[in-house]
Amino acid sequence: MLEISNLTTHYFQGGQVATAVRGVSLTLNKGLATAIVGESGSGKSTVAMSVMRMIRPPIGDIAEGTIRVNGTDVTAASPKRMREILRTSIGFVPQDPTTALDPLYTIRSQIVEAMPHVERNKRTETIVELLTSLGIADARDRLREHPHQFSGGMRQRVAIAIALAKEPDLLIADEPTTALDVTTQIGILRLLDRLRRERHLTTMFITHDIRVARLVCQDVAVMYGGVVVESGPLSAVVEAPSHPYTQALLDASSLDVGPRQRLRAISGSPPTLLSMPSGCPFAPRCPNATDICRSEMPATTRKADGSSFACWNPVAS
Amino acid sequence: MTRYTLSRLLQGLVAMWVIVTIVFFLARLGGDAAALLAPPDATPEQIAAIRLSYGFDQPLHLQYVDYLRGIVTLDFGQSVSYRQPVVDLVIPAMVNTARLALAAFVIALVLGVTFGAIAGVRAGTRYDQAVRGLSVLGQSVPPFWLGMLLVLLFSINLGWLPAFGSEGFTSLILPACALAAFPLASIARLTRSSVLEIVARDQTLFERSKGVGPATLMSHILRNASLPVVTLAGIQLGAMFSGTIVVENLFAWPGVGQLAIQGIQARDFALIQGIVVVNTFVFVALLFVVDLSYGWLDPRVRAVKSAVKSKVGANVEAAA
Amino acid sequence: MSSALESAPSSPAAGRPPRPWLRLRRRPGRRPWFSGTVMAIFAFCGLFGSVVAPHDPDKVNLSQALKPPVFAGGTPTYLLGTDQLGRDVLSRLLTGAQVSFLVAAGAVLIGGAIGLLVALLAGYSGGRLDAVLTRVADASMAFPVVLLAIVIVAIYGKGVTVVIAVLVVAAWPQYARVLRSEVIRIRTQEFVTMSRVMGGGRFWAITRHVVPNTIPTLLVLATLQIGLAIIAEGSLSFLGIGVPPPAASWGNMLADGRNFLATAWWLPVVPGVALSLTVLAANLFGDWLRQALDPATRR
Repeated sequence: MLEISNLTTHYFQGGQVATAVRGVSLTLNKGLATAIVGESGSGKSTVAMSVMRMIRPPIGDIAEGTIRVNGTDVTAASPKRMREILRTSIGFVPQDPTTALDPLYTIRSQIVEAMPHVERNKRTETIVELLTSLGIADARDRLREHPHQFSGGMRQRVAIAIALAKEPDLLIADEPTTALDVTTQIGILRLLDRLRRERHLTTMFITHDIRVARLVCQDVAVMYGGVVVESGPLSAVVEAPSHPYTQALLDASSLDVGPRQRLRAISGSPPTLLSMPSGCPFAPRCPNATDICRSEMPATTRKADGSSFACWNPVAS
Repeated sequence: MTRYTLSRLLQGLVAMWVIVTIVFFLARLGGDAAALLAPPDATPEQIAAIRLSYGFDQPLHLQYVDYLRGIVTLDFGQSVSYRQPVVDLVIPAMVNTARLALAAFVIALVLGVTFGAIAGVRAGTRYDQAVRGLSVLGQSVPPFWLGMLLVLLFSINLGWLPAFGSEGFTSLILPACALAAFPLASIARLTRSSVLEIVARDQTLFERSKGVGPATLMSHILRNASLPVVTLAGIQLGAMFSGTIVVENLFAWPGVGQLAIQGIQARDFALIQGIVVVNTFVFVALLFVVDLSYGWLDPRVRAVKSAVKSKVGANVEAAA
Repeated sequence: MSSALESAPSSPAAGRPPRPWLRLRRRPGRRPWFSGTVMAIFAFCGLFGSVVAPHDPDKVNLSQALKPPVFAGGTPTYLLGTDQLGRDVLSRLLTGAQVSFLVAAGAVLIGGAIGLLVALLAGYSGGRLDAVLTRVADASMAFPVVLLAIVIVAIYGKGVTVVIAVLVVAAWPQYARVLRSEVIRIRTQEFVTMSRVMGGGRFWAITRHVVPNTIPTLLVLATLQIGLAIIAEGSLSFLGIGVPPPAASWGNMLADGRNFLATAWWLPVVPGVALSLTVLAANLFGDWLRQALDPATRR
């Protein structure tokens, strides 16, 4: 469905080249949700933006690699062809629906733009049906309203409606619940999970929170400093993490922290785009780091449980 | 008429009243109002007669009421230099000024938005650099000097266009261009930075993710970017009505500006007062139209106006 | 399932990661060599123009009338030529710079001071006084400069002081509006609140914290106002309601020069170039200053 191989993406910042993603390879299984987990600056959103070809000069560019969506390599697609792919195959759920919806246009006109294939006289019916299925009760009466008349959770449902209006095969959700109230978050997550099952949507779910990933995803790719450090079936990775960063991430978000127990944090801070180390990006913060970690990038090792990792000194299980 | 329209109308009227009142008190505080209204060579007897006929011997508040009544009934008194009612002088001059100002405004708005929008979308390119450079230059060259250069080039050296007068369409071109340069530059600058800001917003990214064509995308960007530009354009149009004074003077254009300068030279205060009031009225009316189009453009303003407006206002100041 | 979510860390607006795919990062700005140099020359001429002038700017010498500048076939005695009365254009330009400088400095300093004062008053008092002051500033801003000048000149007559007064009246609301929001922003910041909590007086907070922190914004505004003041002086003098002739001012030189467009082009061109260059430099310098002082673009 989605095959990313050896993707490297640059940003051009004030005359310098910043590498946000280097050599990422990743395959999303059809009909499953894959979480891309990492801190901000890990390159997880850049991967998503590269898939949609949103990064173009002068802001940045894809330097290397291929991205196949339904067999088509989007890195080689013309802008026109790319728009066609976006119009038919990829749905995008934004992080913050408040800033993602255009405040000046009605809900209806914003959804209509994403469904050019639907006949003119059937559009209203289709939209009402879609919105109702997404949990907006009085959809018909609210078509002429503007985004500011909706609550945060309802806005995210409208944004999801826009993503689904084109009936995509691939859904990319970029931290879709981060900007919402905790109580609305769960509703949106359940909705996304239901939609994936009902519509056999291949989902790329970008999040910084591995606990959220566990609720809705089957696969995971953990990113750090622009590279995928560990990936595979979510359960396998959570059961037996091999990369020290995955381990640290799981420890930090551990669910069984009792009273009087110390919360564990990862010491240090992630590398900035301009100061990427040549070896493993996690080496400066890694408890297991040795000299080779700092000088050379480790190769990817496959494990029996279907997961794989890139580390010189993996966690002993 | 909605509540929004009504409240805007009321605000406009209040602004108008404040300015008219300031003019009234400036004139009374500046010394003998009768002497201001009298011809320069008037005898003390004539001044006394004027004092009586204008009621300057009356208490101030009665004078004020009379003054306001005059304004409401469009009676600004008699021009001493022209020996005609001020209204009959100001209205035809205003029509001429409006022709010039509107011509310049159309040039400034159309070209300014076009250049600015392209520069915003193509930020960082040669084209963008050229637009930015030219717009700083346009904001630095005073209109009267630009007008002289235009005359030097197009009338004197090339002989293509008339250097002065108000006959026909050709005589409108040079003064309109001289007048348009400054607002064109500021509109282009603001449009550029506004477009740049909208392009970098989540909403544009989301719009692009729909796979819409360039035309749809651009209409979203432009409509959003137009909000601060509308405010600036309104202010510029208003400013143009007084900016014409200098250009009219240079091109001998028979507008309000010419009239005002003649009024000053003849110490014709009634005339000047009339011009100021009519000009203020035009300005306030324009701002009212801007506010209305704002409500039409932005659905949020109709509901909650204060927050959005203050933000847009800050943008305008930063860019203007 | 839900327990995990309820404890999920959620920090919407705060800690939002920078999104490099949205915004183009620009190169750091170049140093303002051009604008800085022109501004320095302007300031020098503004202070010592009449001292360095090679000739008496008002000395009439009809036998030397309408000599072209040296680069257009004139003599080195009159580098920029002479006007219709044989007066040296360069000397008049240099003395004229003093008028422009005086007007610009006066308008910027007094206007800025009044604007800051009003901003402090409005930003600190809040409530009704704030509303009234803001309204007054808005109304004053709606009043066009040249029209204002016409009214004031019609009542009080002409002169340099009148020109400065007009520009001050036109300029203070611009400072007041921008600085007011600055004052409100600064006074609610933690370090100012802290100084109050720790027993510092309001006056102390204003003079030690608020005013110094408005200075970057004030500087940017003032620089951009220099250009406006110079153009306004030129416009008023050009209309004959500014600096009274025969004093050499750039506006007066342009007003005289307009009659010689066809015969002695340097008379309208030279002072116009000087004026436009100075305004251009002030605008460029102001833009540079805004970027250099803005913490958001400095990163």
